[in-house]
Amino acid sequence: MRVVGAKGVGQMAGATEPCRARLHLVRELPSDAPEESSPRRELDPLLLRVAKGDDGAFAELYDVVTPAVFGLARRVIRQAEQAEEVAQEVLLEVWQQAPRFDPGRGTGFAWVMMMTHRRAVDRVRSAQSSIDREARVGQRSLAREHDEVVEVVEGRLEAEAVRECIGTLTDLQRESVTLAYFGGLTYSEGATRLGTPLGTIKTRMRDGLIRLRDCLGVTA
Amino acid sequence: MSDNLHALAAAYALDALDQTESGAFEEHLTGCDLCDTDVREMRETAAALAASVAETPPASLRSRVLEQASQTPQSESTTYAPVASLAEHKSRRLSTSRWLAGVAAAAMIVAGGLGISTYQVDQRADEAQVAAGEITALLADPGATVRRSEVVGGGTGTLVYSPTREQAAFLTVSVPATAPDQTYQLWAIDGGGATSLGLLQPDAGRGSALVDLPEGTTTFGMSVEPAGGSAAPTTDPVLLLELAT
Repeated sequence: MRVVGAKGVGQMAGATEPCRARLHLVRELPSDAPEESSPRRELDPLLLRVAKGDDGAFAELYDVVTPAVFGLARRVIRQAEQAEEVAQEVLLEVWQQAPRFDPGRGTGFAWVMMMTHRRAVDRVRSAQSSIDREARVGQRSLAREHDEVVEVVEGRLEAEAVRECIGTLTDLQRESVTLAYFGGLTYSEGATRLGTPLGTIKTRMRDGLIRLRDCLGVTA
Repeated sequence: MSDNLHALAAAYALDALDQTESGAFEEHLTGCDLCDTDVREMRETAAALAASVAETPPASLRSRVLEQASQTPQSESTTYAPVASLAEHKSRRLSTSRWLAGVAAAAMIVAGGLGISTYQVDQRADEAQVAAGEITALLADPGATVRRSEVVGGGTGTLVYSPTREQAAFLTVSVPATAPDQTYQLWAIDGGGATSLGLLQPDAGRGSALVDLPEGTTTFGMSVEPAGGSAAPTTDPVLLLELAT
């Protein structure tokens, strides 16, 4: 139960099928496929109970979602203690904001991950002023840092489906997406770091995420 | 321009836009259903990436979180609008702040110790309700800090800000009306100067605003400026509140 986030993705995309086959499958699904059966929706009923102040449901929700919260925070911040602080803030925010969770606007899992990513990125970005970061981006050591982020992330992408889908991206698509999501960089910082024009990064980020979306069979 | 903005849905969902772009995109989002769907799908996709890096957290975190939650009140069930509509804003900073002229803080009690305040807000518009919910959430945060001071010319101003300082609610009580060709303007001040947070036009002395404090803000200020606001303060502040260091 504790690593259900990763398990969920595997189930969602069908862990062993090749990506292209899934793409067709997804396209053929009726648009009114029952949402309740989706593993991505697993968190929703718990959140709706938490919304009513059910602390037992909150404990359950903690067990289900915290590994993904902590894991994401750790990837972005790269420092376990701070990642733990962020995870604590996020979980408390989930408790407080649960009455406002609206399943009609997306899955609970995506809702929690959005909070997590924002907080983690804020941490990273407030650690230094943007001027500092711009200056750093010009330094040579950054090339190494960049490779590190990409490698560490790719080496650790545990869910097979996600790894498979990421494998279908071009190098630049993959780097654009992972530098932003796991590296916490803005796209203009990513462009500087990869030595690529802004417009190109913007496009690759979009194309990469669209390809991932289709490969993973994500619908809003 | 809207094509360009539309292309930013992915970057937005990845939190890869800077503050200015993010504000512009959020504005665009309020009138673009297609973008809204895009952003939602992109967020779901990004969440799948997060699931792939799940990691067992330290065991001690569980009891800390559950204990803290048991002592923390929950927000009201006001559903968040995807993005609060941005009524009037001129500078780039303002696009990320939400301003609510005419939302009346009818009564406000600042309770010391925990820094929890309660108040009633006249909920006349949807936007006001969203903001009221957000302000309530802010006030309910056990880590929120309250700063209060008298305003030069009369009345008081109170600032409540979250532990992360991203967000703050500012409320005035009994402040005098400005001349018709003037307005109150709010400022975030740091070592480098003052950044406008927007204009405040209290109704019968009562005004409230929900603002996003820029990183590094050390002091919150309010001054009286010519109608329409100024790029930088042109008069002595009528209120200064130092944020905790």
